[in-house]
Amino acid sequence: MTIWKAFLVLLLASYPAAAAPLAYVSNERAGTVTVIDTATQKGLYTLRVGHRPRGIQVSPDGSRVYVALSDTARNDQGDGDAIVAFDPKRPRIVARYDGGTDPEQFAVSPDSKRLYSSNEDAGTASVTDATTKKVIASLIVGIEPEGVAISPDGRWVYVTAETSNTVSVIDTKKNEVVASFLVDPRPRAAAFSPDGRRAYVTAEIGGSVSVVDVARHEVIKTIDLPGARPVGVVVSPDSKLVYVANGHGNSVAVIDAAASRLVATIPVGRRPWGIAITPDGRKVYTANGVSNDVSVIDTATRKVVATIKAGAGAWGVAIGR
Amino acid sequence: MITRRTFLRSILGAGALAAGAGRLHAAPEPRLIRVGLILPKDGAFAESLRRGAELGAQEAGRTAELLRARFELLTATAGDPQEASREATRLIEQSNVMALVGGVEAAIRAALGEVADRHQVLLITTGSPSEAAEAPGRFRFHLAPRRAAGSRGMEWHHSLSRFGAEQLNQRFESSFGKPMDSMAWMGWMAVRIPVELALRHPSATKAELPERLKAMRFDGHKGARLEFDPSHHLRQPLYRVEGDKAVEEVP
Repeated sequence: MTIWKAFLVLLLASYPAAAAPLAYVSNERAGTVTVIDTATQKGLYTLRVGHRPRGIQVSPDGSRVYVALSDTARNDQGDGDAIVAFDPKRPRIVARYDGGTDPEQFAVSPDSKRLYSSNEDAGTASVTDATTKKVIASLIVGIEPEGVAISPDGRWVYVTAETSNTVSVIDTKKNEVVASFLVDPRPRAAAFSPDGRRAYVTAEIGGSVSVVDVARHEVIKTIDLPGARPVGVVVSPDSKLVYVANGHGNSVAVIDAAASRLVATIPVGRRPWGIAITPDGRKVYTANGVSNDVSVIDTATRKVVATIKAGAGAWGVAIGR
Repeated sequence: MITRRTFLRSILGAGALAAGAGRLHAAPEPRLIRVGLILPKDGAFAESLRRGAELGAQEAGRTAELLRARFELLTATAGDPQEASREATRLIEQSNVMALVGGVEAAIRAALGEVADRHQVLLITTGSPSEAAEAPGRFRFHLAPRRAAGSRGMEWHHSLSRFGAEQLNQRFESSFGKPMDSMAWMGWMAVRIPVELALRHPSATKAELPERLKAMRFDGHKGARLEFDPSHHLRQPLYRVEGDKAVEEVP
């Protein structure tokens, strides 16, 4: 018993971040990231990152947190437009990447060597080399690109575009757009299932989620979510459930992936945008942009078990390992 | 003996040679989608409608290109119903447009509606505000909604900023150096709607298009899901404007 306790203390002291995954919330208006311990549901610290942080991602090994920043000048690329990375253990910014003009959402490749970001006003997707931190390709995608997702094997990047109602498919081997397809009106985000077979694309005005067969890059089903304004989307680690942040619908929709059917709607804070799931699949976090907080859902009971204060304009959420 | 498979292959091979394709894997010719725009001869409405339709055409063209299709907007002007009827017929018969767009005045909308019904070609009108419902017609659809009596709500205003309105206003202003007004917004929507319909339903027949259009939902950058009501008027939020600012949504 004593030996076990001593071991535990030693373990916690040596790997403070390994105890439980951390959740990172970007606060668009506050210019900060709120860091939450997913074991205690307590805020650990808040880091100032820069102007208008929106898209947020954690590197696959959990050692870096990436945040997309935009300056006030639209259309042209200013000093404030960048993707920055911080080290969650010693919270400070350690790298700054070119992500094109006003990068909004982005994806990190499984090997952490590439970043893929959407540039809304330019109508492009930027491919950034993480070593040189420079944009190596700027690809024409749909009109007002927004959501970006990468397949688990790193081969395909989907970029949604809210005015052309399209998804552009980037082949990461060629760095070329190799296909495009239509989805419902105003697509906002995409997520691949961890098994790589399906992708899910939300449509805010369509009030629906399109189910995509990744092998063919084709929509095979569209699921209507009554009363919802679907924005952020995440898939459970076992690929069986899809969680959709309903934006102005102030709820999270739970979809049974096999049945392609809505199975539950969970009320959360006001205007949930970003959504993330813990690696064990037990908790779902939403960043609520109007109530400026984070709702924590227990996926077993499908109830909110904690509400954590975030900064002004909570936008995105990502969870580390 | 000729098996079914080799027989089919020889037909296909002959076809490819006959067409002079040469390369067996040549990409198919992209599908061409054409829409005809009927503008008034002059006036502020004509200018706004032309600009809105032009922006809509740029965006519809980019979307079509992404989906390996091509889009062309063909424009004609008409000063009276007879001329509108003649120009619309010419666009349909000679240029094979899949939809007509325009009709600022009631008499011209009516003339275009008759042509649309006769040729089974969609008409998307950009009519001026009216309390009266338009004359019904299976192929006639109207971007001006049916208004409540006395309502003075506007379809669009350049001060709108939420739900992507700011981006649309900015795209319009940077293209034309003018603020986007209601007629321009209707022109923008009127071109995008039939193109999106054609892209979503590439194999639908002309006769099937009205039903497909009625089932569609649109984003007009107003935050609401837009759709045609049973009388073919577009359901949408309208705005009350005070001074130079849209202050609220009105019924």
